Amino acid sequence: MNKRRKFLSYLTSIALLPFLPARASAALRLSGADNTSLIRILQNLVPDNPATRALGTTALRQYKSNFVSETIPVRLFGSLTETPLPTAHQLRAHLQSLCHADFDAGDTVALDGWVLARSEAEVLALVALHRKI
Amino acid sequence: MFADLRELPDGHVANCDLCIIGGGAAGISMVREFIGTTTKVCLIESAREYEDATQQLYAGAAQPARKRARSIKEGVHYGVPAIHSRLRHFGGSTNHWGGYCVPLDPEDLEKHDWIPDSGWPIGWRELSKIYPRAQAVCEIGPYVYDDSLWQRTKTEPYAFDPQNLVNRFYQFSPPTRFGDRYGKALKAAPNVTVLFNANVTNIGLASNTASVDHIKVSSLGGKTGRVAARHYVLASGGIENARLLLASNDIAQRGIGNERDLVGRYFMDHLYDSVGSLLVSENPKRLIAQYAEIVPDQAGHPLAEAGPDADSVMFQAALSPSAAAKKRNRAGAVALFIRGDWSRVDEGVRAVYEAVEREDNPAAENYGSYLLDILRNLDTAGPAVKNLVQGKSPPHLPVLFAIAEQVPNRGSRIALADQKDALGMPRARIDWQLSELDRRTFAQMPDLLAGEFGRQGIGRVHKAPWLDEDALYLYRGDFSRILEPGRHHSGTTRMARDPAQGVVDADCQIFGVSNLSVAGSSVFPTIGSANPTLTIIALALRLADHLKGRLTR
Repeated sequence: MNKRRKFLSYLTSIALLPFLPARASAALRLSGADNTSLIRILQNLVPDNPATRALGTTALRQYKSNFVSETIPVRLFGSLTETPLPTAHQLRAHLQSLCHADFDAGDTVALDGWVLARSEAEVLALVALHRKI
Repeated sequence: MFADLRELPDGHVANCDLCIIGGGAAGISMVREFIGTTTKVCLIESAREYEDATQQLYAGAAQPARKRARSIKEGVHYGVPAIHSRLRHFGGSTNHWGGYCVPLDPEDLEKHDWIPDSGWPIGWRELSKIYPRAQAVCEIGPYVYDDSLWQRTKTEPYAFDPQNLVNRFYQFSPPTRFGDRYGKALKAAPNVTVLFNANVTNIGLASNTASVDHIKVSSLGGKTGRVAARHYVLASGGIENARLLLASNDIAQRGIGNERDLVGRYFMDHLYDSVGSLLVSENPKRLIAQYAEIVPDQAGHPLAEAGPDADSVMFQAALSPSAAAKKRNRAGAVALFIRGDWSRVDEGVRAVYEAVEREDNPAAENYGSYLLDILRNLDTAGPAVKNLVQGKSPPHLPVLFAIAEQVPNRGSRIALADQKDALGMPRARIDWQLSELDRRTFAQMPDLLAGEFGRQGIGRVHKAPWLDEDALYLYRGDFSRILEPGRHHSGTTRMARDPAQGVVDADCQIFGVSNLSVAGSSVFPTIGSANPTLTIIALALRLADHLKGRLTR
């Protein structure tokens, strides 16, 4: 119930994002070529193996596809939009800090029994979506 | 001295000041306290050594069939037959005891609004004063159960959020087999008689039911006798204490101390099961040093290398939900052990680390704390990890093994069956009932552990499928079938301030019966997650102190 409440409040905050100038800029940026570049870097970070494919498929089932394609990039890459395109190492460090913040906040998601930081689940969903495409 | 009922004249009457029924951890600990005093003590015991016919007296009535659909509210199958979960000979169940010692936590004694009928009538300060004495009886070293033990591991302890997880520490008795270890002293004591082959068949109340007049004993061969004492202590274990009180119904028709139908109720045991597995993402040496299961003579363990010298303290650390976490989750206590074949675990994880080290990356020390690094190497970490991702069992990952508290439940009880044992006593019927709160006690752990292990970079938790809410429908009727009970029979003569709430008072005396007390875990109102022996002995010593005052007046 608590998770559902958190999830709903997260959706609400996402719905308000376009009205926030910084976030609007991020959304704009992420809809462009940089978004594709970031996802490409991310795809290189996440190995393509049976484990990631299985978890990614589960993650995709768990999230709506427009949530994965539109909201997750904002959440994962939003704070990177004002900086030059990150290197793989920088992106990795950035995602790692998101993951730590999730664990600190108790913001976890279960995928196939694994209890993961929400950012980890979202990375897997995003990569799986783009591999599908 | 030692005596044998079979060698005494039929109808023999033994007189003493204090009669203790049951020569297990509680009974023997109490008797030792009276050695060298003027109090004449008689310890009643069944067999001196294990005998099958005597052990058969512990057989319970037939349990409900495991496959029969029953709900946890109606009573479920107790996973271990009564006969196999305790021992009926000198030394009692210390004869198969594993030796784990740990005190209760202070909050285990407190009343919690989410745990029905919780709260002890005695406080932590009083109990904690006696634990060091109990520790000595168990032949363990210094009474230390705090973070200072980490110094022994020569590793930095993990900084878990104290609002979520706390460490708890176990020490090991050799284990002391109480009959073997203390029998000689009892035999040599001039004021102590241990009467063997004496099975109590009745606790004879005086006609006004306010005191015990005598107890009847019988050997399996049919020899009978009586013991008359100024005071009696029932110390026969959580099932047998209730059975004897209920079966002694000739004067008090509902059984002794049972005017309010509380004897035998609130039967509790610890619940054992895995809550998941751990995919280790950091070098496991630190984790092993701090949490790997330790056997005192286990070669290669960091603590074992020092050897069992006078200064050494062999301990095992476990993880428990903090008081705040239990309150937040409205759940009971848990001790969580990280168990596994660490040599095999190493094989799986080693591949990850070898791959990381090969990359020669300046940030390599941070590798492994991030899931992507784990996933990157899953293929090289062995096929079993892939199986885990596919929902199969993880044979070589460390298991997150929980010992969970069963919370008080009035409906869970020991009752008398129609079937009789060889002495004509009604057999015990175990009507074990669990609750949703008990399941929740387990279910709180994976998220707590995953959060803290993730935060500390230790690894990722795979939650045991039975705890998944989607799987609830499979087990809601009876999740007992996947649990193992700890064989720590408790609560059946619970301690309380008020006779409406319990069977014995804060001094362990049965309400309304002036000279009958109870020792053992049957007096525990709640059990926490601690193995009970140390607390059983502490309470027995406390009772002995109390009776010394009474009997020398």
